[in-house]
Amino acid sequence: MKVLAISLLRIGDLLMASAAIQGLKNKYPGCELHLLINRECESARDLLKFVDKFHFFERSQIQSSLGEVERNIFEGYDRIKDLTTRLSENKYDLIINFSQTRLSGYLMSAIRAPDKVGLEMMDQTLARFGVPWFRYLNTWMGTRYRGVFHYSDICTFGAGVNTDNNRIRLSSTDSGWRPKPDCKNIFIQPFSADAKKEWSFESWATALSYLSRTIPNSHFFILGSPAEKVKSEDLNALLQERSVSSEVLILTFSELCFALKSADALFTLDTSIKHLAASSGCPIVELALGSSDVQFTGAHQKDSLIISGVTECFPCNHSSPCSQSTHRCADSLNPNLVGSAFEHFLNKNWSALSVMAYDYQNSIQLSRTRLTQDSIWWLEKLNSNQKTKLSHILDKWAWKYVLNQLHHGVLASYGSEALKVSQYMKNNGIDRNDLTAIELDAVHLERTLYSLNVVMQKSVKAQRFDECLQLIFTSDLDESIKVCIRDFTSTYGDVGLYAFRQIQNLMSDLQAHIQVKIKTIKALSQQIPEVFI
Amino acid sequence: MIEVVQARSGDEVFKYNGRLLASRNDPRQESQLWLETYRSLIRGSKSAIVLGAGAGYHIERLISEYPSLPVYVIDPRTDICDRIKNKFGFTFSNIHFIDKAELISERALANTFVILKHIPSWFGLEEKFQSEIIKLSGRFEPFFSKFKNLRPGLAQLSDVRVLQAGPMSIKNVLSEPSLHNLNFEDVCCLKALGELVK
Repeated sequence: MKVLAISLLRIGDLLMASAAIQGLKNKYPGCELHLLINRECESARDLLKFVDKFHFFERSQIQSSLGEVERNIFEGYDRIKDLTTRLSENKYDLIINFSQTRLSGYLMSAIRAPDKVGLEMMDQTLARFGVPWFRYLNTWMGTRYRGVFHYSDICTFGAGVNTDNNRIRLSSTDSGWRPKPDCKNIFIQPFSADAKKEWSFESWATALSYLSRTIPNSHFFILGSPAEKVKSEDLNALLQERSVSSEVLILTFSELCFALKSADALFTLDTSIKHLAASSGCPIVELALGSSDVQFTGAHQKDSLIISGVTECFPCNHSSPCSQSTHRCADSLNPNLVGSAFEHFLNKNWSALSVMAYDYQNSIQLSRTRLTQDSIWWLEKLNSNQKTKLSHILDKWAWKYVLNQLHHGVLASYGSEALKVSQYMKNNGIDRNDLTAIELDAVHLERTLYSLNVVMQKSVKAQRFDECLQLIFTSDLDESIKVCIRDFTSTYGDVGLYAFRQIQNLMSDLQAHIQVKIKTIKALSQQIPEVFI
Repeated sequence: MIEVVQARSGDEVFKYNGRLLASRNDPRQESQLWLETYRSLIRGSKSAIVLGAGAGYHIERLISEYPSLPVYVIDPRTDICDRIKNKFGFTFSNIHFIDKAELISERALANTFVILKHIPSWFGLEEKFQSEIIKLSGRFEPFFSKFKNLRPGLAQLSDVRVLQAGPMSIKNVLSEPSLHNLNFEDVCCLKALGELVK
């Protein structure tokens, strides 16, 4: 069997999808696994030794051919046609597209294969997804609603691979680097390709000075790519001025993956390095700034700490520049407070972090990454109340149930799912006192969705879409859902039958999800109370 | 009028009408640097079109590193081309010295090709070389139609009528109503390209 996986995003996204891509090897034993990635991600090749053959999309080469008048107008077409023809000749049995971009969707359509999963563009607006998980990825994640799942989990479920193994596993190479003995070896990743995600040198220096005073024998390794060597040395010089014990460490991806196994912690911005650390089992503190979408792309391991600001513009749009006159989300973070949070993290003092999250909730957001027993990732805001946590868990479970299409079964297993939820609640100290309140909210939402869906059906017959949309926007639906539908309508311009059908599908998904949530709550309520003790 | 001078590296360099066609210091090193600037473009190309024969060192470097790549060298100075062929003993069947783009085989123009400019060769002939680039870019008629028709997947595309004075872009192709006459896979290739337009 021959399988082609497509991941045409950045290195971080490729690493997040790697657990699912590797899982394909287990799902189809003996299969020949090929991977199509952007040429810009070639440096990640050594990390993915389970891939039998790589193919590269020459993105920047093609893109530059479009803008340079001295290059042949059909060069880009020729290169894409050549690639898709070559890939079609490989006669893949299955192609899985892990990217949620139209570009990848069109490429998917241009490559021949009997079985395809993931976004496949049929027209400017008409798309196929193969499984509901990829429809979810492409519809909800493109909007400001964001959805509830981690990208890595969507890839794993979408590919239908074993979810017990969806931890990122990357190959590593020993560069000969060894940790400093009798020291806390802390890796720092202070650079990002996106300026919006960066923190000022002064802030880093203040936070690390704080840490060097409070953590005895701490030594900081400033990570950087060869292209970032000068910047790394500048930061190192600043740290030396403040008597912080530090040095620059330039390694390849696979060497860093190896070195991270011996590090005491990684303190990083939202970069691909955190996924390397997750693969190496290194404790991670992430500083999420700018467009860092922590719900979607946080480090996929349990008990990482994510620190972010509380400005209303965070997270901002990935593709547009910072809308503020100053870099507010970064500037609002007090470096001493960040240093203090890191110190508690190193001491595994989650209760101190929770107290801090409550006390400073107007200036800092602290979140803890969690994994359920079947390795589904979720983000627990440390200052959120029990009701929010429980509702969030139930949302996740219900979406998983709907996207796996288990709710269509004649004998849907709400009881067994509820048992899993209750086990998880028990393990994580989440009580069920708020179940009734959550159920009431859910029932109210379900009624609203039901009546809106009835109106939508009538609108399709009458072809009166605008009035129906106005009804949705003036309903008491959650604002995040309305925002999502607004985003969705704006991508289509004039809402015709096709676009309206898509919105109808979203609303049906939401209704199915909320119905499953209610049934799970009922099943939970009917369980033997001892389960919760 | 061709003169031969010796570079500091000991290599022979041609002077044409008093102008050096390669580095006086080290033409081989210069050719290496020239190739480096184009290396990523050459990757995946089915042929290379070099605009300017220079003193031949860049051509020698190109074919030594890409021996299976068909190379077309465009230079109107046939005397220079003959000297280069003799000096380097270029006998490969896949290297062609020609004086205009029209002589390039249709097979080469129908597949991915890369245009490699050798600027030191251009002195005094800038307009000539620039006009060859305009032809090879395919962004003006009649070359646009010629290149389109050489690609089986695009032949069904009607001639794009552009009322603008400037060069054509892939956007013009994507807005052409006859796009829907094309095979679905070709439309997808073009639409994928459209997603890369900034």
